[in-house]
Amino acid sequence: MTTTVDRPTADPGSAPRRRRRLSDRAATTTGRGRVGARLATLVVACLAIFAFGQSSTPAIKYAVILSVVYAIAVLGNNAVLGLLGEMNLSSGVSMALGAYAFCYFANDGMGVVAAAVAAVALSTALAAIVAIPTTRLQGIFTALATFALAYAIPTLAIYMKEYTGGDEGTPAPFDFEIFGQLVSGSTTGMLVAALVVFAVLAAASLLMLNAAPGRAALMVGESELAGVTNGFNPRVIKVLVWTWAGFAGAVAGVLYALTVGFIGPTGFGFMLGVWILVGGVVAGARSAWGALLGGLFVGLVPVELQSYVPAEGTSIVFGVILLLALLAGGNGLAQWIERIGLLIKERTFGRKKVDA
Amino acid sequence: MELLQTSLILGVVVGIVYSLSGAGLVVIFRTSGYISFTQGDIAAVGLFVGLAAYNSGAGYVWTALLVIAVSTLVGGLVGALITVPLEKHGHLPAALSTIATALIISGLLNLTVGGDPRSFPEVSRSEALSILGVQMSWSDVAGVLVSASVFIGLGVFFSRSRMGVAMRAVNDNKLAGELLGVPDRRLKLVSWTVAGALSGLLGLFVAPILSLSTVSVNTLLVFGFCAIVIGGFDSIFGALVAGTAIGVMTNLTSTYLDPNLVPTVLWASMLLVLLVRPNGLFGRRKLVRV
Amino acid sequence: MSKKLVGLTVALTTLSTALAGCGGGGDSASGAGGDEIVIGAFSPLSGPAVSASSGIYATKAALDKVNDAGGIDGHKIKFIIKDDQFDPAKTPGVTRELVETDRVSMLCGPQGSVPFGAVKDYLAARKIPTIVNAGAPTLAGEYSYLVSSPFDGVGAMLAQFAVEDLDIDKVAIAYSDDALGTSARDGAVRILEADGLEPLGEIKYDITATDFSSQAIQLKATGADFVSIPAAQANVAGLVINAAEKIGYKPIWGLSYAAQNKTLVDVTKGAIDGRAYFATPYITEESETGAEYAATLAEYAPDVEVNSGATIAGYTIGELCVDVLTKAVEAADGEVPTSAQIQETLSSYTADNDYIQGIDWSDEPDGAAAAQILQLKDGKYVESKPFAPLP
Repeated sequence: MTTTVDRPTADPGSAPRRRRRLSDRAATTTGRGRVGARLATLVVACLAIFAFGQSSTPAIKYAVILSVVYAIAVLGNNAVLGLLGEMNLSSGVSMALGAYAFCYFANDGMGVVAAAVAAVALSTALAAIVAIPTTRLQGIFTALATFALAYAIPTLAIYMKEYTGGDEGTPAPFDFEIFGQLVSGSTTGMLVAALVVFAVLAAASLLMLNAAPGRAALMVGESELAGVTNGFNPRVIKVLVWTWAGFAGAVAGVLYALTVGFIGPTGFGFMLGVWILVGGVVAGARSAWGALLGGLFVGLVPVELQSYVPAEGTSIVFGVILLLALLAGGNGLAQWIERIGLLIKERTFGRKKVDA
Repeated sequence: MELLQTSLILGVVVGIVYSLSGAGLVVIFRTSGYISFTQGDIAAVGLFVGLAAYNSGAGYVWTALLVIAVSTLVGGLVGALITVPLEKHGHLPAALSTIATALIISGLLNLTVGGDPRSFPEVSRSEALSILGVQMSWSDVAGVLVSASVFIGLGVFFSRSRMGVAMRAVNDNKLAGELLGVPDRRLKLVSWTVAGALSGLLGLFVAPILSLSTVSVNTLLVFGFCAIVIGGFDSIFGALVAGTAIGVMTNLTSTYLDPNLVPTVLWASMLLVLLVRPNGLFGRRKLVRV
Repeated sequence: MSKKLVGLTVALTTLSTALAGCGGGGDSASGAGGDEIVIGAFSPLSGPAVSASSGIYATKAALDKVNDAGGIDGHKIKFIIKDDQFDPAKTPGVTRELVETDRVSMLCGPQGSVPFGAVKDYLAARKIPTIVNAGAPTLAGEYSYLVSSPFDGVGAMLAQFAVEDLDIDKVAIAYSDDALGTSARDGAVRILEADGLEPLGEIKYDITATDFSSQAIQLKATGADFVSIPAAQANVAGLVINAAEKIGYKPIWGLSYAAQNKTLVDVTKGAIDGRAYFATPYITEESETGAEYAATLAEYAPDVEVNSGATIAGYTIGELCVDVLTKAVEAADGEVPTSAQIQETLSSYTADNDYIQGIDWSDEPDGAAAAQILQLKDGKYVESKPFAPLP
């Protein structure tokens, strides 16, 4: 009502504009639409991370690389969280699968690329198999079943020490090169490789979200009944979403192994899955580029925080950040940034048009 | 044979503790529909305060009462100030806020009391009775008796008292609780407070066995989760039976398979039960969302 | 491109430059600038393994004492401790920070087999030598030197002690399925077989378990009079012992410095007093040198438990670092030694002193080849068998 007083409504351009604004808002909350702009944002975000990594000390650069790796797992988990609304605490399990399988194949004499492909294929297949019973669960049961699985991984790794190296872990290939660039630890090659893989997967998830698969998954997530009446089989859709998350986790696992150069069971405790979930919540579960923010939250913030807060108390800061993110509505930082972007646009772009 | 027999008896003793850790989770779940990841940390606060009192001369009974009082208070505060208000954004944010609370409390404990495990007083270690070669101390006896009365008490509370019935109803339908004359919000706060008390109580039995550190009660959480999932979320009795079954099963797995397979077997049996009986062995209602 | 996008780009670039500024700010100060000798370590200062960090505070106490006495030939030691939470994914990050930003010339007492395993190759590639505070024999290398005795020898020594000194031939072994557990088990089996015996049982446990009644029942079923469980930390050993005693099984327990602390006594409520033996390459508070150690700890790390094996190990490593650095400063003609000079000192270093015996890194970078056996008696750790070479 006040708007009609403030603004002369005779302007013929105002109705479409308002509709446009509405669709902008919808786009920020669902993460759908505006594909071109989103892809561009994604590329810009990746470039910014690259520039940041390159201009940092090797230690920070390593943390940035690890963050991008975590971002890939966050991206996968976000599909489960953002589309299906389920709480998955087992992203660390997919990472462990990918990492262990990769190291096993590579140490067994396979080439690095072949080992990576085989590891991701095997882990994705396993993720699909585990997804079949898991997707029969809902809500709280999903959270608890994935929590119990994540809890089992470190001891299971010790049990399977023939393949995993037990508590002493197993080395990962550290002399892998692409185009003459060493892909390992804190090298530029590693940073680029991680970012390129992230960008490809993020773009793929963005495109899928805006096509039939995304629509189907969103619908099933919001209401299974709606999915069924629209001709989708909710179980199949769910298994596919979980398999995608497992795939992304496995890819992250392979890159994790290359980055760290070594994997051991204590690296895959149940907290890893919690962090990946939390990263998604803090950054925004429906934003592709936001997964990068989630990754930074998991990978970079703990290292950097030590310079300002006593190490013993860093978890307090994490808890407070998570609480603030939840208090803000649980939509995540990425959405807020997009909203601020919109606001700036409305204020500057929008006004000018009215004045003219 | 003796191996099996002793495995069974000891499995029951430890399983009752698992059930108790499940009970607190059930109480919150019943009114709110999500689980709390922070019960172990709430217990830890109570236990450290209690230990300080004990070390400065308080007797065991006062220490125990103080532990329960502090846990009750902290549980109520976490529910009232953080988690229940966040329910307006949905169950998922509320459940996640319990992870945030857990991080904050454990950080505060790390800064103040540090990470070293300490011994915690117990009722009495002297032998009370012996069952087939297993010595039951007075602490064990107290644990079994207290757990039993808690389970009976909760059972009566949920089925007989107006508030208990309202608590069961409120998760299904917000209006139901109000129709019974108890406001929704108050029910939730009561459940958080009761759950806080239960975690303090659990801590009193866990800390003397595992020694007290910032994580000692948390290590039992996964068994509590399994107990309520297998037993059925709305069944206190189910938690008791399932907890005991888990105690026996982990013992048998450790003896006859491999100790490193225990968590995996736990996960697999949880999944199996959920597939065969999605509401748990003793659950009745259908449950949705986190 | 929409305006929104431009805005975002600007925001992100500003953010990243700002962050980059933060990150880059630290590397102006390097070790070469002053008179300080910069060394570092990582340790779980937070997270679930935080209780393992007492060793690093003792290491720091040994170094602080030297600093207060004027340093090494006038050079103060700057000791930088980073938190890796015992997470092998975090260890490489903090280690790179130590090596590349803080420019440490060596690592002194970083903790944990798995975390150190994650950076061993990196440190070797950077030619940064390390005195490691961990027991797994696979960690020894060209640039990594171990102090704690190999667990194969510890297990062997306990078995030998049981058979020869206590005259017990019914021995059982409890072990975790990891590097330390299995090597301790193998050492014990080796000695028993040499004496024509064999263990009555080899019972496996999981260190993360909360209930050890299954192990207790199996141990009791062996009927052994001596149970060797040297790789167990105090909390795990305590849980195994309590579970066993609960079903009326009260053997003599063979442990190591890993379990030698107040936690074990507290958790078992003193039940094993007189019945527990600890193999250790380290001294005790009661010994002559121990008095000096206890005094230093009381002054520089008053919150840390004095009579704990892990604390004494950390302190001993601090003393070793001081000794090595002193020799390296000498070799550098009184200047701050480089990593290469420290490595050269280490590679020919031997120690047979008040704190540790049987270190000969000129031969192999392995831990101490001699140990003593302590008995828990009236809440104190008293010598039961003096220092001797590990069998």
